[in-house]
Amino acid sequence: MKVPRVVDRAASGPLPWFERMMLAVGVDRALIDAALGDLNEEHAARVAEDGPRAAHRWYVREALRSTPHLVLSAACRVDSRRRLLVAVAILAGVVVTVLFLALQWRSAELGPPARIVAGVRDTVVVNQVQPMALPMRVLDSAGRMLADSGVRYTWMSGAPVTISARGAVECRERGDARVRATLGELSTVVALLCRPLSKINAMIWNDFVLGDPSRELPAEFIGTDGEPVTLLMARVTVNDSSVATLDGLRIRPRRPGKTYLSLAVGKQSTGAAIRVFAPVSTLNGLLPEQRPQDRYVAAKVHLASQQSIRWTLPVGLFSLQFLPEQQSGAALGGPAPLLTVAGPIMCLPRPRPGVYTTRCLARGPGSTVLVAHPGSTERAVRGALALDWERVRDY
Amino acid sequence: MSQTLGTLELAALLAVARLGEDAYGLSIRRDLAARTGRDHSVGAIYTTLQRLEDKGMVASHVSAPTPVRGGRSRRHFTVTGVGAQALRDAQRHAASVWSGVNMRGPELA
Repeated sequence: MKVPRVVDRAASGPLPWFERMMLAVGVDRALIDAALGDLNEEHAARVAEDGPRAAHRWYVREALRSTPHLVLSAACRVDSRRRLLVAVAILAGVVVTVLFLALQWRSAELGPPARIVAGVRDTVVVNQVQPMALPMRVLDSAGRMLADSGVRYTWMSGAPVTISARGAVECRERGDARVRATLGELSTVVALLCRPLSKINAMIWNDFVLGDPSRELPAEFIGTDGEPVTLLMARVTVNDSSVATLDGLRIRPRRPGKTYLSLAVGKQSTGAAIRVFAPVSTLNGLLPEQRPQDRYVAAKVHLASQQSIRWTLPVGLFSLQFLPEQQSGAALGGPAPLLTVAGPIMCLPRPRPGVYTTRCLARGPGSTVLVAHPGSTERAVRGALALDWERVRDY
Repeated sequence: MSQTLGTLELAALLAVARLGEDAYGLSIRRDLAARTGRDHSVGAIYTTLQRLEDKGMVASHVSAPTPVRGGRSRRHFTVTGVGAQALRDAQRHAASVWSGVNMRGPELA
């Protein structure tokens, strides 16, 4: 497999000799490229997160851990003449590993404190009014974390923030302060950005049709002063990342299904559901009981004035919802259709003007939904009717 | 079952299926670490993927090189028809060997 390059090979990773060694023992170049590319990618992320020294140590350890696998893989593929070379390489690998472990063992003893770091680059965002401990790390000269043994804090300037000598900080109102952290001869100035929250208003349902671009989580963060807060230290997790993933606070749909998102900022937390629907041309003929791919579907609705469309509905329990067409992550704002159901079906709330989401139980075949232009405007109805079917055994 | 799958091979093949077009070594490694709690080395992941490719269960292609990867490309993997069949066989086989086992029984409680 021929792999192009955009930078000089010598500068392509922290261990240029590693690639030469792997090539020398006959490891496939495509395999080396893929493996070292991954190592480089993660190394770059770790440099930003943990610092260059810790990232370099991680890289060396990963390269050494990978060596036996790559070399053994090569041994199975090379001719007999090269096998001797591979055997020598394996022996060398064993020696290097033993030496590495010995060095690791020797360097396992932690050194004295050499650096103290608070939050991210000595900046801490506080989003709660309750007291919290300042996140402080004490590191030795090799970047290894030590126990926080007696860092002391004093307020320096800025907003009147209450901070105890042991680092319990209390932000009652919005403002920025500077705090000095001291440990023996070590000292650093911490920027304390107080943005206490009183509540989070987040959209409970976040619906996508597969293929939609990613969208910002519709959430509003309200400070204790009633004003929006944009500076946040948040923990966001998605239960099933195969359905949707997060890029910061942007939600990216990945496959049809439903998952849940939890968001915690300071002491405030909230949750939201994410549904991703498969685009279909019609709701007719769905068999969600038999075909899992029919459980989250959305059929395109494009109705001019006085137009309507009728679809048959599957048997079972499901929700029906009109999703307005999106552009650049925002609803276009056209009219919503009128929904009317017929047949052996019961829906709550009952479909009527102004109801765009309803939960229905179709007790048998023959239920239909009529999607009609509301007639109150000449503008076209544009969007999709989404069906979220639920497995229910007894009804 | 036409071809046997080792534990890591099965886990990697499932990860490729799960990740879809985002399936490349690093994302597969992270997915496996998140789901199994085991931190496999890059070499272990790629040699496993190479074995799967030799068996015809995955296919690979390379993307454009990027500076963050030191000028190297990502090698993306997709599950082939053979791989999909192997997954179905593995699922059927697992269901078969587990059938009849009562997890609430006194032996396993």
